[in-house]
Amino acid sequence: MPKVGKDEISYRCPSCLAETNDSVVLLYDPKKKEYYCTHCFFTGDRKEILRGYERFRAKYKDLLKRRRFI
Amino acid sequence: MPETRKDEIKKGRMCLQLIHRVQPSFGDFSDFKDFKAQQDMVHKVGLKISVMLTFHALFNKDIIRTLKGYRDEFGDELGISFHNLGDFAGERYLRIFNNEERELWLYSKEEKKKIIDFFFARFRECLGYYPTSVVGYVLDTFSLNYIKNSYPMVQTAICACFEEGVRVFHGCNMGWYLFTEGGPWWPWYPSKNNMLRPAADKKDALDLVALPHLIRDLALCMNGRDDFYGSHPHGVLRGLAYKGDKYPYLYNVHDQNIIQHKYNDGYSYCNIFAGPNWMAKKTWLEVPREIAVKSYMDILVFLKKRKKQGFVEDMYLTEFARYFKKNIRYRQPVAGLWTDTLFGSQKQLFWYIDPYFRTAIDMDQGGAIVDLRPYVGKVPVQMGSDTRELHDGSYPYLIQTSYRWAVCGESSIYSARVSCGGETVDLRDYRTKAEFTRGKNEHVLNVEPIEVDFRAARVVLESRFIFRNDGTITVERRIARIAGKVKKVQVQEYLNGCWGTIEYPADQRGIKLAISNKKKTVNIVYRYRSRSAEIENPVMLRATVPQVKTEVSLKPLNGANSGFIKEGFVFKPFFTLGTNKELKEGGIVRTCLKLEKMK
Repeated sequence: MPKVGKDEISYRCPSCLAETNDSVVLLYDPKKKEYYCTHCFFTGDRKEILRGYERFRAKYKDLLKRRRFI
Repeated sequence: MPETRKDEIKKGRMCLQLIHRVQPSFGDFSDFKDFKAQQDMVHKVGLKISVMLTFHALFNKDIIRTLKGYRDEFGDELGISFHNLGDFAGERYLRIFNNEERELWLYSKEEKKKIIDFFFARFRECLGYYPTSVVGYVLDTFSLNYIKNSYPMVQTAICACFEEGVRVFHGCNMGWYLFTEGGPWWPWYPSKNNMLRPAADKKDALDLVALPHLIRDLALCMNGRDDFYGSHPHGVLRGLAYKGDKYPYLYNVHDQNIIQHKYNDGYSYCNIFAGPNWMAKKTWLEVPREIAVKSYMDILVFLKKRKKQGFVEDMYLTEFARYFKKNIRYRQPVAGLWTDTLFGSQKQLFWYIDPYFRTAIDMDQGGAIVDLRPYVGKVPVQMGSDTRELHDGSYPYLIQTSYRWAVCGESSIYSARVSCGGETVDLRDYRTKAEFTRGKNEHVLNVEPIEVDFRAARVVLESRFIFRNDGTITVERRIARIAGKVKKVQVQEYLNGCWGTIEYPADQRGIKLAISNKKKTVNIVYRYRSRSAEIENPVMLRATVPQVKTEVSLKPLNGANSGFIKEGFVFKPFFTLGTNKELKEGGIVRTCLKLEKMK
């Protein structure tokens, strides 16, 4: 397992995820106190990661819509 | 989206299978508490569960004792899982097999035999009998044949992941060597020479029922990875198709899958199959554990509710295999008509499969054929370290719109162009919707009319695709209306074909193109030289594709003014068969697209 930061949650890189590659787990740099991706150029803190996830979700326009098929 | 009538809904039911893999928790090969928690949930809800033993489980006396208890108390079926071998299976495995290869389908034939025999022997040693069900993410053709021939009691196997291949490979950082595109999305009788191809008859079939791993969203699987969008909550969470503890999309997938029985004589199918680690204390996902656990419990409760309502019948693996053999015939077509319920596009995709071919028709492209797999060619595909294909077990395509484009804006596709007053449009540039009607011998996809505003006239065109389970698709275009100063249009039916299995182009050289009328035949052998030929009143257009042992032809059923064949070039690596017909209002052009085994 890579170093995943203080809260021990493995975060997927939001930039890679935006291209639907979800298998790159971010590493944590304790000196700079930031996460970084070895596959692309993403660096950022937890808030920036979560913002990236929200941007990914934005494409799901019907995310909370329940359809009645039955 | 068309309304579903209540009487239609009540005619059918979905066969459901829940399957757990007996896998230890991350970091401790002797710890099965996450698996046990998963079991407790299913038992609490009261649904049938089949449990598949991994290498670790087969060497853990405590878990074997627990599994016997599940079997005796709840009736759980026990079988074998061939997933996660090599280093994932631990030092004991490596001492025995001396190979770190992760998945069974990638070993050599001799190694596969050794591993299969070992698992079966060990299972019998632990449980006292041989299992009747086995699972992998993939069980390749050789392994499946070997299992059935050596252990004839086996009735069913999970052996492929629908449309997993190129897109999932890219989505997993180019590290997921599972390529089984071009197969069925629901259970099938696997053929002996390619487990991904539905058998044509009993002689062609391996005597067991093949199952897909999970059910995928058939509207979303063509334009991106499909492992995010399917029946298993883990995939939905992984694809971030949830917000907080809300995941309506997961229920939409299951409900939309249930109502597919409308198109399949009352039959529908679903499975959820996974190990326990996605909802363990430590996973590789950032999803909170409580959300993961809740999502699994919620979908179990939901399916139980649907069962009480009469829409779902839960079955063990072998129980379903018996049901399938009793109720589903060889050659029985399967159809699926799905609408996007997540992205807001409402895009509709239609799927059809029989022993001659599998195809997909995209209503966001005017009702164009965007995928065609010629099963009639019976292309043998092997997988493993001692095969030519290595990891690539996908069944080859003859049309694949997502994978084969040229910078001119053309792609591999079957569509039609309409010309009026000097203007030409392609129906693929228009959105529409469709309805499917299953008949006794004839199944029809009716595409809603497309209106085209030419400068000279407004034209309304209707399309119908007729399937007869004989290797043909009859495509009908009818000019419903022409309003304007021009009273005629020209309809060009065309097929841009190529063969391949992945996104990179395969070598098309050697494909033979032919076009004939009553007087002559013109041939072109594919050498990437952009040659073409056109003749009047064609009666047959054909491409013989030796790489997939298939002949694909277009036959104008009610005549055509002209027809053409076109060779591509390296920057546009596909061939074209096309016909032109002039039509007035009310006029129809009928074209038969036929697939035959190469002579």
